[in-house]
Amino acid sequence: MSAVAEKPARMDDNGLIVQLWAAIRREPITQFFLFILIIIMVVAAFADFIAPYNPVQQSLLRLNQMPSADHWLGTDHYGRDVLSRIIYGARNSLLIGIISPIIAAVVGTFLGVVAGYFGGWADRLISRVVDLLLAFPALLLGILVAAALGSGFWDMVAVLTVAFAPQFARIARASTLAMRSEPFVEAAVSCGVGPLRIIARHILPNISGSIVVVLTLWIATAIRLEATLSFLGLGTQAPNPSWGNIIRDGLNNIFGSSWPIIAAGAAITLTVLAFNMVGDAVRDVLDPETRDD
Amino acid sequence: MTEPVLKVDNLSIEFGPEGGALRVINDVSFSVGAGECLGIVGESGSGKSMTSLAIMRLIPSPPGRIATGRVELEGRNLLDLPMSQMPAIRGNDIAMIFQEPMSSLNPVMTIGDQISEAIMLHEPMNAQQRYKRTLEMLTLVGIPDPEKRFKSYPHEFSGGMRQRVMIAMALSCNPKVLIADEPTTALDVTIQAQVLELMRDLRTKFQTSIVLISHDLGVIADIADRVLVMYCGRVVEIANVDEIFADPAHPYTEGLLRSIPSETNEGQRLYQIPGTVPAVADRGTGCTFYDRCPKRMDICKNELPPHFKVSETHSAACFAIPEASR
Repeated sequence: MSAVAEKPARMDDNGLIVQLWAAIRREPITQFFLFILIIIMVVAAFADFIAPYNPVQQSLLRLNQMPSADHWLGTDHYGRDVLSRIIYGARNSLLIGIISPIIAAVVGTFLGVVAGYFGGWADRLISRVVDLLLAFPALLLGILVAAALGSGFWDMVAVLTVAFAPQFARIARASTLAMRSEPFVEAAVSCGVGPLRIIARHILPNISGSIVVVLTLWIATAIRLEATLSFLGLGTQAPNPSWGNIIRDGLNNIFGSSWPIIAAGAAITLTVLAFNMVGDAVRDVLDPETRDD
Repeated sequence: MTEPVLKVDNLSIEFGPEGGALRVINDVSFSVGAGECLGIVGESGSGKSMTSLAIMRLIPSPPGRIATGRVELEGRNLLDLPMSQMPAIRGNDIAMIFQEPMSSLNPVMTIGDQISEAIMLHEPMNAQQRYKRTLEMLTLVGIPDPEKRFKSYPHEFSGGMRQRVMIAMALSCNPKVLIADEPTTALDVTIQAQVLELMRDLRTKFQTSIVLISHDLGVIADIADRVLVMYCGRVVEIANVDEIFADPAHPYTEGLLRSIPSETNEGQRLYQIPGTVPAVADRGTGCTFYDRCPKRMDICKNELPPHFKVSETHSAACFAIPEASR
């Protein structure tokens, strides 16, 4: 007993961000990927200032060029600068890839927690709709919704939200069911804590770890899915660049110049990898029992 | 005895569909006065915890259902209240301590926040007063260095300390009744002694009524004033604590007492009550203890024994109690 009592309380007044930063500082690899992620985001945000050329500016004089001092990643078969297209493409890919899983997480978690905590007809209704949506692969669902809605920016967000929300709902429902029978939730109920507060203070914080990890994984998946839909011609429309339609364009011209495909493929891979690595670090911080302090 | 704080009358609980429901608690009645400690004993499945959950109206429903009875807190029947009013009573009037201190605290909330939450729900205090009260509660239950411990997380506490935090939470709003469901089962004997000592203290200090559920007769003998023995969802004997130990009237209670290891039967094989608790569905119309009873008679097989008074404070449900002492 005394050994435990002597152990100094470690958790200071640090907020989540400070803790997250402390965790990241201990992991050089996570640091590296966080750095990459920040660069990608800064580049996407300030594309107007960073990109050396207009991404849709064509030039017959510079078709299919190899990388050079003027065009770091060469040019495509319309003579457009590949680097500029990748930079502007990052904006579309990231915005859609981040916004839609977040909306899906909020909507899905809400539905899942309601279904899991209250049960009864609410659970039956939500679970059946979720089952129905889960029966379709995300890509197929994406194609269906994109065909129905069109392919504007918010249409794409809607497509991915519908495709991903069921995943969050299912995880949130399962975690809520597990949490609801935890003795500490029972104890809180027996202290007179009402249902809304139980959900907000005792259930959500305990399931947020798994939700956030799933979220970072789905951000990666959303970036891939957006790329896939754009590749299939259902996502971001030419001439606006996104990583997916850069590959689509590049594939038609693979023997003219392979640089667009290589660059866009590398951008997708790196971004997806970076989100996964940082997601793991976030999970470790959110769960106090895996926090090694 | 003065007017009881908590009075349970003919409580019956059923599980399962209407019509084919199984009665897991049958006609349980008892009362607890101010500052009194009532011990409830019985083996696993005898309905001890179910009874305590029913008082808090925490029976999972469906499939559970309180079929009959009243639970009166200072004359008010809790079973008549709408469910929406129960949170105001839980924690404020009746508080509960559970048997698993290791998992009864929210792992992502600090100890201090969890105690303050209980206070916040029931007491009109501002944040600063709540903080002070929380520190007082931590000191009261013997947590050293409360300012620092306020910000600790549950995983930084040992089992005994967590149980003290649970007690602090339960007592933070000065409840009239404290239900302790095997509060010491998961703790080692030294910590157990400390926790019992603490509960005894609180009882004298705040006049809190305690309902202590345990299958450990040693704990019961240590702290309880009166004892309720439950078997198969029924009260088989109720008496003052010294009467139970000196002069048990029900053969089941006798069996329980004979099963306690002690110095006098050292070296001998420990007594055990033959057989096992019958399943809820297999209980006939007679005494539920019939199959295992050493004193069984023909009448017990088909007729349920009523409670016979052995003394003013002592009654038991058994036909074997001699007519003269009834």
